[in-house]
Amino acid sequence: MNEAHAQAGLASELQKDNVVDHQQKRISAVETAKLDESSRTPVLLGFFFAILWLIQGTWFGDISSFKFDWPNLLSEEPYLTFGRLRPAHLNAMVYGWASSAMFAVSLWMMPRLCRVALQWRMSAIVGICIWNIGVLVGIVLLLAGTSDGLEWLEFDRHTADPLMVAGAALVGASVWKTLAARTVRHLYVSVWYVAASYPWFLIIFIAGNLPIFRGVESAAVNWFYAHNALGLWLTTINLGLIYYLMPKIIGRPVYSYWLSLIGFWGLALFYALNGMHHLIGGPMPSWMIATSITASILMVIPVVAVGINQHMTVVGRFGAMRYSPALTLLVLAAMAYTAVSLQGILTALVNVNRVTHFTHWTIAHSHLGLYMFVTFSLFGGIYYILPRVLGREWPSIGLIRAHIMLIGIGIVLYVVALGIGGVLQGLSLLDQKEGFEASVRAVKPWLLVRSLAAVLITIGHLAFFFHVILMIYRPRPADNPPFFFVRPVLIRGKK
Amino acid sequence: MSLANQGQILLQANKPRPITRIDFRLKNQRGRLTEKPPMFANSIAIITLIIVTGLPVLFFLLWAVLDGQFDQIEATAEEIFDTDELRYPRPWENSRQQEERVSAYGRPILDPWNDWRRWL
Repeated sequence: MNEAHAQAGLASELQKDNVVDHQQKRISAVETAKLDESSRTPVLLGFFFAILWLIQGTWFGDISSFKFDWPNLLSEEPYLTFGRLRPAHLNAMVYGWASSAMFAVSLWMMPRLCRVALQWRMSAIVGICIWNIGVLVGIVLLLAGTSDGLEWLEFDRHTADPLMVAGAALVGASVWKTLAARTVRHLYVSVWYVAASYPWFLIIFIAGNLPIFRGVESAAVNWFYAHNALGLWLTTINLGLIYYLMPKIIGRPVYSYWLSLIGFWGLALFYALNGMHHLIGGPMPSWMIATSITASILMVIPVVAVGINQHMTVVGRFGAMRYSPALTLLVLAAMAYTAVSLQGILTALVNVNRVTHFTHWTIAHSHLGLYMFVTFSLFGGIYYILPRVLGREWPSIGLIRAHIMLIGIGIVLYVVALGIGGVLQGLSLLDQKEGFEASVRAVKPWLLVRSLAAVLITIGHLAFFFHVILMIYRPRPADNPPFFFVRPVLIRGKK
Repeated sequence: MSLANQGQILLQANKPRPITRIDFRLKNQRGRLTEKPPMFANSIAIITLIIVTGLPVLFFLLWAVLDGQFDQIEATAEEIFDTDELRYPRPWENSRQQEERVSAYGRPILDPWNDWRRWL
């Protein structure tokens, strides 16, 4: 007990000391490596599960997409029908891939930012395992036909969801315990983003799964959850990652720390009100829709603040992207964040929503956010973190280049094709002279392009998966220096 | 069933039905009809959830201000860098950017090879 008090006192003293001069409180690269070592097991575990789910979720998505082009494809077995595969794809990607990777990213960043070894490591390890058991149970039940029938909340609330709540709570406990034990006093903006994400997620996930809501209120709570899962969970941890890694790789502090704080607090204060704009035109009280649209427009402030800040941090140093695949992906992710947020604000306007609602535009929008922002950011994080945690270099520059090119071209094609197709579909649906079939004909060619884009993305994922395996079993010799400092990777580099 | 009977049934089915007015009024707890429309006017759940999600944010913002979290902005922005990390020249920087680095962070470390190798 006394020892614990003494440690707490020491930490407090260290925090106070830190106020004096941050320059003198910097730690060496060796100490940073020790902090990485403290989080090694849970980080690797998180990435392991994440990459498995990435591949599985990609297949689910591919088959779902192909079914639009060939409706009879794999329709004999109930578990391969669109109604089961599509939610399985979404849930595998959001909870399996993105969330597991975000656990790993959080647990890697927090010790570095708090300058203390990861606390309650076993809690994090157990949490990640329980979470992934929950996801597995949810996916199996979904394919077997058991679904809660709510968007983003399809997992069975009696079996899968409690496991996921327990898993996230255990990982969150480790994150918050590390925060409490920090030896720095001032919290870097990434700490705000990461630490806030865990209680937010638990609140919205538990609320969204409560079986007490009926009718219109059920839809309202459903979209409160679905929208905030994007904004207060997926967005926050990835913005925290970008705010940490972008300055680190470029080698200069973020352009304006004030703007980064405006971005965080603006999001924290306005975002929770936004979800109801998904129900424009529905039987909702007008004040709720109006409040949501107003809050959506207010989101311009944090979005523009983050966009300007990240752009100004990189501007004049875009050449660094040739050297670092992590930076390339993070810059693209940051651009996608600005684009998807502005697109979301635009879509919240009633006149735009009238055309785009119930069309493939929404799918394009969600992939711009969930893939080009969230997944690119996590890929960037993995490219940076795995060599440091494993102590091995990525073995093939060619595979890195192929991965980035394939997913980059694939997702641009995907978003543009479905964006155009969605608008044509919406205009056709609004035209009273045309039947419903006309809207299907209008969007059909664009769905074929989407399937082509999905194939490119899948090949990219397989290249990445193969590269990770190669890294584990045939790493580059240890005496080779890191590729990003030796020669450009993406454009001019040689194998 | 004869053809005539079938025709009669068909005629009855196609006969325009009288428009019936639906009573939208709700019964109150005493079982009496009220004038309140069955519209979804408020969502206590959503209001509560927004308060639960948003109110702690205000609390933490106040705490951050009182705790002096925003006192040393520039220093906090540089907190993420390791010792001498900002002194390493980067190969993508032009001469002006390199000069800026030297003036801000001191003499460059000209042989960063070993350190970068250690970092991987």
